[in-house]
Amino acid sequence: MIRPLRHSHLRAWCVLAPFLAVVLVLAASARRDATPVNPGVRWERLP
Amino acid sequence: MSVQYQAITWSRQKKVYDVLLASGAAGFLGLFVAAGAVTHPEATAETLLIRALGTCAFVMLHLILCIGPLCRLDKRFLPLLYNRRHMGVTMFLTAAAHGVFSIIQFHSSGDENPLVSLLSSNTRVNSLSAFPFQQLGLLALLILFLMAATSHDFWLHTLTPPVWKRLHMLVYAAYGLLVAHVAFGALQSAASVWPAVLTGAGLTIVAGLHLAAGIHERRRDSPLPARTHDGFVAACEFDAIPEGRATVAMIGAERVAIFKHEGKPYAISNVCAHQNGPLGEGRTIDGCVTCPWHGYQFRPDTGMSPPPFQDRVPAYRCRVDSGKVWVHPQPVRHDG
Repeated sequence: MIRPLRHSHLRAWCVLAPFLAVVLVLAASARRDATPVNPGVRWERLP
Repeated sequence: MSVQYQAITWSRQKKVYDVLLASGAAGFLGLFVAAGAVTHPEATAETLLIRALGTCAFVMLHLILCIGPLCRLDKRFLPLLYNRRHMGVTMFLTAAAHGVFSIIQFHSSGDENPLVSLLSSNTRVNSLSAFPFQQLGLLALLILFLMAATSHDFWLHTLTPPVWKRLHMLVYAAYGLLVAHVAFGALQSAASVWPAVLTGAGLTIVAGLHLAAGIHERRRDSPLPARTHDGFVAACEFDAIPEGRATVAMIGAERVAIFKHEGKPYAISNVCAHQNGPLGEGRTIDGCVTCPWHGYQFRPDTGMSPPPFQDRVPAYRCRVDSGKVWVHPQPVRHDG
């Protein structure tokens, strides 16, 4: 009765796990330099 | 066990659970803001609160996603499952607060409607480092809202457990969207590598647990060798079943829970009528099979809930022969 539902969880993670790992690696490889161009400027303090 | 709408009954266990949940979330937020104020003195209180709320909701989502597979792999985690929906709703409210504060902070100072600004201000979908991550978060929030809004048992009964469970599998899509939201958002501007490492560790744990539990369940679904006698299938050794407990066997394409109650075998579906919980992992209490997930009860001989409740699960004929329990794969019809 619910065997297809149980197995659909496994199928979902077989797809999701490698896909999200690729997303994370791509995002990590595209990280910008976090150092501000002008370290003296705090954008959060700007009016 | 009725299809009528019923207000949530606040048992002592639920109150304790909710107090612990609220305390944990408040403690997390307080610690995060305090630590952030020390390590990032330039950050404003609003920024710290937005980061704290988002991180808290993301951590809670990881915990929620781990509970299901942990319970499949080890029964000792079952108590975490009882009020998982409370944590889900709390997580949605925390995520919603993160979203609202973010929209106020980043999209409410211009002439544009804040929601229009959120949806239209960044369209650089061909850039990884400047990907429109906020839209991903909004989409995930809409899914989480749908799930929180339908978390009550009223919707479970109205939609039926299989449909409700399929609907709530959307949490995987929400999780995927949120991993991308974090990866293309917060991680892009994080000075430290630790947020990326922790996000990767969280993904590894959640995915690893789900894959392990899925493989475990698939192995349990292997059909028994077809040893039949008068249409009955040999299911298990009778002496191997503890009194008041069950052994689960695959009979045809179904899992059947074979209970030993007062020295006799009884076979009912392993699937609880409430939330499809594993009845075979429960035990008999007051003469009724009791689901380990939420305590729904069924008589072992008929599969019917005790009066006045009207839920039922399929019951199967079974007998003991040569020390084995033999189960007939066709459920018994009870018209009353």
